[in-house]
Amino acid sequence: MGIMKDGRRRSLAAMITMPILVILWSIPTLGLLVTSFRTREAAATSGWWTSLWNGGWTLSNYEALLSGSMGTSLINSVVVAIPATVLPIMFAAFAAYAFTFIEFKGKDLLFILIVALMVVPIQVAFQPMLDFFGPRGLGINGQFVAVWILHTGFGMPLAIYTFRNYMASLPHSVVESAKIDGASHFQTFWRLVAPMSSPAIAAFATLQFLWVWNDLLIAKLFLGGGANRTVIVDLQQMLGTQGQGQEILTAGAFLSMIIPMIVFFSLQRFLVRGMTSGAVKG
Amino acid sequence: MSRRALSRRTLMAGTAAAAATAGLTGCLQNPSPGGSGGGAVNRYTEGDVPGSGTVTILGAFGGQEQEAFEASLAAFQKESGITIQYTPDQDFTTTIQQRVGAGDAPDIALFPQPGGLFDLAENVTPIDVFLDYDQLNSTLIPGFLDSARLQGRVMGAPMRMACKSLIWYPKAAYDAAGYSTSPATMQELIGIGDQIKASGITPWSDTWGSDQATGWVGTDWIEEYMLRVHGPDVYDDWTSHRIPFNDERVVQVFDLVGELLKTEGNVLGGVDTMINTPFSEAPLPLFENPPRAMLVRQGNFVTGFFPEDVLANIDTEVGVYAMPTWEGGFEGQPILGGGDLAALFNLNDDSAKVMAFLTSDKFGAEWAKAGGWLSPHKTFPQENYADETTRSIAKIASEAAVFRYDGSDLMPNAVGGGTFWTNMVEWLQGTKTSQQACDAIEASWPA
Repeated sequence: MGIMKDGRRRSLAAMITMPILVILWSIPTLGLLVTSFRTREAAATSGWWTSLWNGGWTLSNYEALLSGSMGTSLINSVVVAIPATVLPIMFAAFAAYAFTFIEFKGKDLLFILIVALMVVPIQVAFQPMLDFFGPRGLGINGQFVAVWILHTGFGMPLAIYTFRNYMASLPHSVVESAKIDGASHFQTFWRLVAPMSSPAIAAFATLQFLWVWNDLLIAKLFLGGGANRTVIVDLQQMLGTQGQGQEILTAGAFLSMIIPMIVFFSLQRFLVRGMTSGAVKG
Repeated sequence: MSRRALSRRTLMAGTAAAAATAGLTGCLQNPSPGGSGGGAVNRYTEGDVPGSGTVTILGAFGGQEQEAFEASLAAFQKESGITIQYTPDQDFTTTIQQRVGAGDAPDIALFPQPGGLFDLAENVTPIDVFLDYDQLNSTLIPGFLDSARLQGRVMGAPMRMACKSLIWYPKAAYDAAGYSTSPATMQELIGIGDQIKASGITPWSDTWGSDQATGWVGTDWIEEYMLRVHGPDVYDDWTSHRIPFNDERVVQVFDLVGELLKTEGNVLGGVDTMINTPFSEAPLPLFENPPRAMLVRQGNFVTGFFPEDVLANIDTEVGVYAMPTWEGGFEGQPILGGGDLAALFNLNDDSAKVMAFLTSDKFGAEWAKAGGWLSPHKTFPQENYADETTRSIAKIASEAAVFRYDGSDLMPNAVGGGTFWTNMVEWLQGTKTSQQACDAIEASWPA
């Protein structure tokens, strides 16, 4: 039994449980990866774990995938997901700052109202929003700005709620001393509160990015299956009337996972750093 | 047809479809201008609304089918100078409702079943306004336009046909054993099944799995038997609810189908395997060596799920014949099928031209070569089909004495896309008897 850096003893249970959990959680993804390299017939007749001795390997799923429009739709997905992550975070961080550090009339009521909006399911808004963005209204349906607005609007209640709760836990003394030093709200936000909130912002950004990236419904309804389609919509369009071409989906799913994984791992490092860098030192 | 898409949402109001089928028999006259039935139709004349040069189409199929569809339109686009933008959507039934509701309808939509089309009827231009109904009807397999008729007006015209009443078998093994490839009656076919069973092979492979839509394969069995045992008239009465769902004739058909499917050793793997295996995997046991089953009843689209090496030599590997008639039942050869109906939302010169082409027998040569597609026209040149197997299916469909649309697509969606499926599953599992299943479906029929 070793001793960890901080002097606590290593736990035997944790050392056994962790690898088991890791393996268990990785199995579905591994199965997906293996299946994406198998023929449809092989995948239908035998389990992916038997492929080592049963064979049925092929690259044709990836070939079929890459001969399509995956390149364009991957870029479209990035164009959708980055603004749809940055915009709600920006607005929500401003709002959360105001809700935490500025006194104004009706603050609590407004906050309750925004929190209450979290329970409005996005689905009930589809038809009116389609109408509003459609040719009878603004006429922006099918353009990127339509999905940006939607994701921003529906991402913000949760973001405001999360950020406000986090900011409320920050030491008020820091903000007060900034005020005494003559910092404006703008300076306080950018120099102090925003950097100190980076763990919450990073966590929310990860969730929001993954949600937007994996979203099918909003992308399909508001961007459509035309030239601006995202990678998830593109994957769905590869299926035939009775679901022919399902074997391509496994390959497609794997390809579409790559970018969220890059985002997740890069933000995760940021998230840890944000937590360890203290705010009130010296 | 396309039950996967249909199953996702159950937005379709059933009453419209019920009203439609009720109106079907009452009003069969040709609604052409000056015709005796109904009022005169305002014909569209070219030049009334100039087109923009681009026509948008929304449909349910993507992937290889989309490629073949677009290939079939390439020459037409070059000739006419019209650009066609096709968008596939697996959730077609929902998407079309939402887009029409938002005033953002595509110019043309390809409906996988009439029910969804009837729901949007007030936004659709009936085809008699801009197409030559008589000419269309003379080349189509009879029955197609009737299935798209709502209150006397035909709302859409077919651009693809599905033929369901087909029995598939592995040619080499089947012929080697010397079984008949043209059984005259279902009883004879069941007799062949018994011979196969006696030789130590399970006769049938039949799988029902289809996620939320599990059960539709079973509804097809019931519909096939209804058509054969009781004939098309009773079939129409049944799908349009002029006779109740728990009519003794329907219950009898459930029992007959049960005799075939539930008898021990008739179907590969038994009831549990049937329900839990995706419908697309039914043909696979036929092509193992030696085959684990000999017979599959499924529509022409099932070829898309054959193993690749079988598909490459389909004419030598696979045999197909029409599901035969019922001895003592209806005498002619009935065929159960479906079709994608093209319907027009925005009428102008260009979209009318595209509709005329899509629904004519000139459309589809490239798609036919790519495979998996059947023209609904009797006059479609057979040499366009890629293989003998497809040609023989086209022949089966065009020679049918009676063609009937898939019944569950005609019934209100609450039944045809809901309780009919779920009760088929419970019936197969044995938790409900034929009578109980029929009673439950009858009770769920929207008033």
